[in-house]
Amino acid sequence: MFMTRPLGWTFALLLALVAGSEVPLQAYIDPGTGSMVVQGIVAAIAGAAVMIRLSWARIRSLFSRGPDTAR
Amino acid sequence: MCADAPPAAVGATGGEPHAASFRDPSGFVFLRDGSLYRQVQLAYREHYDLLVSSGLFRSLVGDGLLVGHEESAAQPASPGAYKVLQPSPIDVISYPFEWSFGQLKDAAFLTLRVQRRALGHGMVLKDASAYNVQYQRCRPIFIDTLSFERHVDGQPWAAYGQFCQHFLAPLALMARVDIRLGGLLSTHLDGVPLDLASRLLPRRTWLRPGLAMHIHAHGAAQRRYEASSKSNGTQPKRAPSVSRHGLIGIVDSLEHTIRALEWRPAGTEWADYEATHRYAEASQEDKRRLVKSWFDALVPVPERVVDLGANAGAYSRLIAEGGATVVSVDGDPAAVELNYRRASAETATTILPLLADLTNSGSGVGWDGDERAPLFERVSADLTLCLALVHHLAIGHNVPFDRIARWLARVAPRLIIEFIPKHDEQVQRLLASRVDVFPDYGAEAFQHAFGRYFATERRQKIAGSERTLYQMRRL
Repeated sequence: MFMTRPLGWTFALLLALVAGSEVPLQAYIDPGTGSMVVQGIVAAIAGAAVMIRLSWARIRSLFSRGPDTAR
Repeated sequence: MCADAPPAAVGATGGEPHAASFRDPSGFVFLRDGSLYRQVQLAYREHYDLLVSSGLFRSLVGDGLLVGHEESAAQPASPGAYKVLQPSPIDVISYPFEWSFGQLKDAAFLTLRVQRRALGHGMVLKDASAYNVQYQRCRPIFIDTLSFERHVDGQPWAAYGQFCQHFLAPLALMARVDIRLGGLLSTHLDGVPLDLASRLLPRRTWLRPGLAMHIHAHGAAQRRYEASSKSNGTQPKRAPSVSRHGLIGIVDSLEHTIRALEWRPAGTEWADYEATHRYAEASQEDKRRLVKSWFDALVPVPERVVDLGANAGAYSRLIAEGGATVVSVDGDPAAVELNYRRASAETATTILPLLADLTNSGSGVGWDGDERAPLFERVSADLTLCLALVHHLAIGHNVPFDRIARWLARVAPRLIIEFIPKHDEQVQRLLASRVDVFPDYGAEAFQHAFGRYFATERRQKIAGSERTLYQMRRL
């Protein structure tokens, strides 16, 4: 893999930035350490997007409640 | 559906676990007196009860996403049982390597939908194997009732790697490199290794954020940590904490990445077959009429039909009109994809399109060769439809008539088969660039070979052609 080494460092760095804590793993299939590390990063980014989307929806619903209840 | 208290156990005992049902300690599937049961072990009790009490089971079954079951009074097959379930039957068991691109894609979407809904009920999918999905006719349905477990706050999705290997990697390879790479699923039963997928995908796919993360970086991380975990294997396994929003984000991201993978069925040998092989309209029409009228006159009416060399399923469709279930098999990924798209657009279709190389479909795969049974052990049919196929096997693949007949006699007791003589344009095409080593290829040799296994009930020339249609019954 032509990018393995720099990627490894990038993972370590990203993980230190985004993953707050660690949990003991409970799974009957081998989830794979590498998969868990990548997931930590993906979850931090994609999870933030979900939170923004939910907050945005909440804000919008605050403003649209008036006309909705008037109907 | 589920009763609150398990009924008192009655009836026969025994029953071997199904050959593919040994990985998950939560339970297993077993066969007894021709009926399929699922034994739930005491170890899984908490999760099973939550599946029911959280309303997740009802919600998934109600929307046709998960196979339903009854709690059964049957005796468990072995000690340690909490419950015995009797799942609703699936007509034909099929495997991911027999699905077209669209079928694998829809199975992936189903798995993600089930995961999303599980998260909404405080549960999570503990595995994401493509073998947890089956096709009931043309609709994907999740079959592993024991795949759900209570979600513990902060736990990452243990099945994330498995999902990427079973679904995302093969779909990406099929869409971005070559449709035939779907065949990797038949040699890699636990999914395509991500480092392999990463090497095969074009470099420009690094620019796609979804593929870059879920396949390229994922594959690299797997390799890197696989090496490092060997050196300190005694440490307890720990993983980064993942919030519930994070888990939903992963489902969003995987869905988005898979949605962007498109493949248009064209350019393979058979995708354009219907358009380019318009041999005399009139004889086509006569063949349709013959097949339909012979089929309608069969007594008893066949309920389960297998159409071999089905192409995009034109004749499967003709037969399915009467309500028979038709397993529509072809070896061309584009033909199967077209068939699937057409069938899934129809309401209440009874067609199941499957991809299989008929010259290599006779053996099982997986542990000890019987974990995943051969296709024709899973497909039980009353009738085989075999139109414009024999010349491909006999001349295209040098398979003697006798061996074709012997094989077809095992597939189903009745047969509607077309014979195409050597001077037909389609056969000449096969012989165009090779020496004709088939001096005996002809109707007489065909009838002689099939006569050892079948009795001919009807025989008729298809109008406007030299082709002959036979209706046969197994001796």
